[in-house]
Amino acid sequence: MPTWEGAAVTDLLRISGLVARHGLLHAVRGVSLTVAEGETLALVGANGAGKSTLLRTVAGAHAAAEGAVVFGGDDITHLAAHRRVGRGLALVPEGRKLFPDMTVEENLLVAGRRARPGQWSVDTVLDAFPLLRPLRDKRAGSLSGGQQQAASIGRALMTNPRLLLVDEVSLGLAPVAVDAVYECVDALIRGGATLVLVEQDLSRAMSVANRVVCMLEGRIVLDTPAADVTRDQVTDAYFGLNRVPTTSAPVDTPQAHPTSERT
Amino acid sequence: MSWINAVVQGLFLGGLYALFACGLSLMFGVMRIINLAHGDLAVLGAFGVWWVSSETGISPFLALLVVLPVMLALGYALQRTVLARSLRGGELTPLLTTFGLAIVLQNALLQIFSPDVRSLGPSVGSLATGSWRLADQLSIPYLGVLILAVAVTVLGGLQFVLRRTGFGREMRATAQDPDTAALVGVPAASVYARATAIAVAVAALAGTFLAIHSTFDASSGPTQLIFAFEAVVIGGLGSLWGTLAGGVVLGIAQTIGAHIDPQYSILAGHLVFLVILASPRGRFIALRRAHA
Amino acid sequence: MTTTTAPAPPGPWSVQRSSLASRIGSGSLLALAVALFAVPQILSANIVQQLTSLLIFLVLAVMWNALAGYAGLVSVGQQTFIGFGAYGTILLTQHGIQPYLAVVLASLASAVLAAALSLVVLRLRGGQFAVGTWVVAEALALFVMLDQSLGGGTGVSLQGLSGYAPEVRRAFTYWLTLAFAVLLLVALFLLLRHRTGAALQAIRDDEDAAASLGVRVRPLKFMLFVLAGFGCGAAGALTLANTLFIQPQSIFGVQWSAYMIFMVLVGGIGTFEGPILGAILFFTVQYFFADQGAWYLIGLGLTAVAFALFLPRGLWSLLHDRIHVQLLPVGYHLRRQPTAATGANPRET
Repeated sequence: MPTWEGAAVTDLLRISGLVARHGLLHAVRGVSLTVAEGETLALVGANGAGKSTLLRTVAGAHAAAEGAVVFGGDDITHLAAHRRVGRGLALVPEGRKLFPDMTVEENLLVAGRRARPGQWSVDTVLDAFPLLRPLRDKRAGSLSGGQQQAASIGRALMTNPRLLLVDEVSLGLAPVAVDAVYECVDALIRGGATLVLVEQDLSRAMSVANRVVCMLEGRIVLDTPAADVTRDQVTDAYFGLNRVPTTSAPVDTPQAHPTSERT
Repeated sequence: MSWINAVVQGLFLGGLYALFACGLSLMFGVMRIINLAHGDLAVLGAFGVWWVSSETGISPFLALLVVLPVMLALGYALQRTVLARSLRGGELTPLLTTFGLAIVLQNALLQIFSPDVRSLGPSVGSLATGSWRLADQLSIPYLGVLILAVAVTVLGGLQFVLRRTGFGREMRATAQDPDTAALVGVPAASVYARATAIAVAVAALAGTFLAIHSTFDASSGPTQLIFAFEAVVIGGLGSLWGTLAGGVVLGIAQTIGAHIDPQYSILAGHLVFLVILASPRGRFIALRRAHA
Repeated sequence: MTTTTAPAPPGPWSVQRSSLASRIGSGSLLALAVALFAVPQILSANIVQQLTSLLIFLVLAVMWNALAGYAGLVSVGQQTFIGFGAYGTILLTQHGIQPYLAVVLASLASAVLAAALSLVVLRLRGGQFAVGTWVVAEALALFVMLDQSLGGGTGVSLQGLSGYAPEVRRAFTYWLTLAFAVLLLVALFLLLRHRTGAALQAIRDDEDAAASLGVRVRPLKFMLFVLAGFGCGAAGALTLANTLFIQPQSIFGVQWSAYMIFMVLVGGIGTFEGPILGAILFFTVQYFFADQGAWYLIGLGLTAVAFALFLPRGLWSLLHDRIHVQLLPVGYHLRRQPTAATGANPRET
């Protein structure tokens, strides 16, 4: 498994040959990827490229059909989702998925109950995301999209993850809310967290990430340090316009048109 | 005055029905399962208490201390083995499975304990029969007060657990969205198993009070399931306190019915249930989320 | 649901409704039905009576499957209609109506009762529907027990058939039962073959998703609930005609639901042929083991649980999956046409 320089020893997550399906539909087709400790990885790609399924498979919310997921040196491919949380893997799911009938604080507490030891508690989360403090006793279902996203990230942090996967950081949020959410993300990055962000907004993604991975039709077509790549190069990979040689699995049998698969 | 007495007796009977209903409501709230064996599990508990009490000669209340942990374990095991598997089979499978279990339980009890009708009333002495006389035709039975107090305590305790404890928050989170609960580290299977354990133990408690209050036999289960279900629906599937209100409405309907003619007792309860279902309110019953 | 690719381009696949097996199957079923009408001429009155009860079980299994297998409605209260059909027949004969005519009229009245009850019980879903229908059955049983002219709790006999010789009476009852069974099977077959069949299975699989795709859920559920009310009413009325005596506790008893669930689960829920197989198996099991009492019922319950958990599509699915037998053309089959030129696998979409 070739990697980009400097990530060999401290790989926190190592995915190899991962295949995930929705019925007959191959959403993830042989993905290999590593994430090093302290990295911020932006995972981009068009709708249906398989980003969400990849994240959900890593988190254990979706079954892997083939391949392996190794986290912190242990094979967790067949571990139940809640046990992966215990190992330090947390996913902020697409659509936030707060428990709507519980308060913000209860949402945080439920995630903290079986947490690994670590810095995050209700107080530190509220310190990190000040916008949540006045909403503490509000029903989560009554929050705005941006507030929900902050709460959902906060909830994931309550488990004290070593790796935080965030699916669709800014999708469906008002611009002001996007700014607020990215302030939270920035704070995490400054704190040295390891992050994988799925983001539709390329500029946003490239502004915070130090590595960009682009998926197309279930495969990785670009994997490069963010500093070495221009927005146009990522856009080309995004639409599959010219195949950038990739460091991960070779892109075999390129397909002419995008599929209509969902992630 | 005799009408007031009927209402008062119905209130106490309602406590018993609420006790039956609360386990049903809890399982429905957390897992979306209507456990069709609920009544039979309650009767199994009553038989357990009867057996321990008649083998050892101890009071049914002491026997309960032995039986309740056993029923907790049974509920836990039931979920871990049969129900967990049936939940994976889709919406209909738990119904079919629990209905099958109900038939097995009823007939196993019939086979083991014969069809004889039993009562635990005689073993608790004056508690079962005594009452405070307030007026010529108005009395407050000791047992009714005890049952109502137990029902309020159990419902209040469950409410407290759900609202104020970590385990309760896990139950509510799992009820609202089991997949996301797993993503924050909550083991749904274990939450389900503990919820079932509580539901089965409370059912056994209810079954025991039924056995003290009146009589029971191997085929008493289905009727109790129906009463419990009626109480839950009349209460609006909203909350545990709604369940208590539903149980009381059902109890009062039955005692008023019985006051007119003993034959109308159970029928009156069914009719109140059907009227509420047919009323404009009933339209929302299926939509309402129940989490205990 | 399938894709929405509009008129398929002339590709290598074609959709067929029937296969050789299903053509032979429907043909021989028809021949069997005709042969069954001749049974009373050949076999003894006792066997005719046994066959009548087999056919009644068959009707019940098919009706319960119509509800659970196609509309996702698990009913534990179809005994409402069984009892109503039987007591309706009693009531009508008490008013001087010829018993066999009363059987038909009581079945129709059951359909009307189902239509009326649907307003209330179809508000419920899943387990709520299951117990809700059960409450209706219990309530109706209590009403009947209150009515002394219907024999109260002790039961009542069907008068008016004493004019017939036993053999003739049994033959008539048998023919009427067979006619009902054929009628209901054909009605259900046509319903499933019609566009509604696919819509119904969509409801069973995911009611909300089906509704969001524009399937009109309520009318379809209503239709099946009324059909099942009619069929179960007929089964109750025919049970009375076959045994001549009923008691409210047994005709309104929940054991009917247990039998129906057993037959459909073992045979194969959601298949057309499964309940028929289930009814035959159940009849056989009952014939040999019913005198075992509680043990027999424990066995039934355990079998139903085992099927629900381990073989949820029943025995018919084994046959169907292994050798692709389908006796009746109620489904759609993809057939590869011999002109298949392009060797590429069709892309999954």
